[in-house]
Amino acid sequence: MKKYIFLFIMIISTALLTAPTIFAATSTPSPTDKGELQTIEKIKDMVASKVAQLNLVEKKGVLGQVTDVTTTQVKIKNIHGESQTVDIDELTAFNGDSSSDNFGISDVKKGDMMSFVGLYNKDTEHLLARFVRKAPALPVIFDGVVSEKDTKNYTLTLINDKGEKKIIDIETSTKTALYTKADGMEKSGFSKTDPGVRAVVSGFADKQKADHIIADRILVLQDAPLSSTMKKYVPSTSSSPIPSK
Amino acid sequence: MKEKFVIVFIAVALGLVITTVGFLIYQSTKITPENAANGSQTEIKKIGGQQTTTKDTSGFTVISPDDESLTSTRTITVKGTAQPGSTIVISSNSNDVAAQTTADGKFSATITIDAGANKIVTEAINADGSSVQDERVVTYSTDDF
Repeated sequence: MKKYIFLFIMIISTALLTAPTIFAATSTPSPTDKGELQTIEKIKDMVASKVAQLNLVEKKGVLGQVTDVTTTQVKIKNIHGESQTVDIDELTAFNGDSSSDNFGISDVKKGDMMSFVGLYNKDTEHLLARFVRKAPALPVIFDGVVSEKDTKNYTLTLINDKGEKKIIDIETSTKTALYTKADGMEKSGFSKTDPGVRAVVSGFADKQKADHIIADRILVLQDAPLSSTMKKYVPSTSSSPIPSK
Repeated sequence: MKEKFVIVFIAVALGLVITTVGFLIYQSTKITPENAANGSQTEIKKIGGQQTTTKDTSGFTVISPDDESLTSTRTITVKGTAQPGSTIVISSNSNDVAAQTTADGKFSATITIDAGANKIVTEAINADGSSVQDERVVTYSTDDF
């Protein structure tokens, strides 16, 4: 009997001792599995990197005044006064105005207003320009109360909420519109624009006269309220700060 | 002799059972590549989930279009919120539109833009006459890149 017990213990011990070898054989991938895993890992990394790249890059159109220019980079100040860097490469296409067919990076000068369309990298905060164009002159927007009207010289004097005064030069091409809550937008004219109303003027700064704006468009806001500052500049001859239509 | 075979068989069977149980316990605690892949996916979502919004203290917000965005249509819809009862004036390079906010302060207006870069100025004139402005650039472009 002792002999059988000894034999039983020996077999059990042998079985238990061989177990780690079995575990190791099943858990460790064979060279083929390892290769496949590495391929899967590589594909996963590539997909992750592409997804991250797509999320990091977006198409943008930026506009600004050139502050510095090299053959590969343009630094601009955008409309918010922030500095932005635009990268130029061999794929960047330049488009000047109709007078210059061979417009290129060498034609871009400090102070020029340029627009760039390209790929913006959120990580580097650089725009890789694909198209570069000379920007059109941007209009100046001025909102204020009409404090004076000069029918001889065709000018309006507008004063804004900060008390800034601008002389608005009316040209034959100036378009005037009237807006009321009830009727919406409709055509109007200089003769119908009276002192005491609020108006928004879009135009271009007169290079010779700093306080003048050459009006391109005037939008008269017939029933828009005036700010407390604007009310001070309503002429006493005006029937009402908010005249009826 | 028969007893010997029975004992050997029982011992081998017991050994196999113990080994199998041990193997199953070991397998259940192992980290599989599937778990690792799920971890990477979460990371990607985090990278892609970045969003920015700007809001003025007076409640004036232009929701769309985004600043420095591109559009392939010559008309854009400017949407946002301002104080209820405000007059909204939107100016592009060559056009102006005006609108009123709804009772809950929302506004939406369509304006025509020029080819290339356009400065879109949105102004909200509140009921007390005070005003707030938002400026952004929207570029009309059909270029494919």
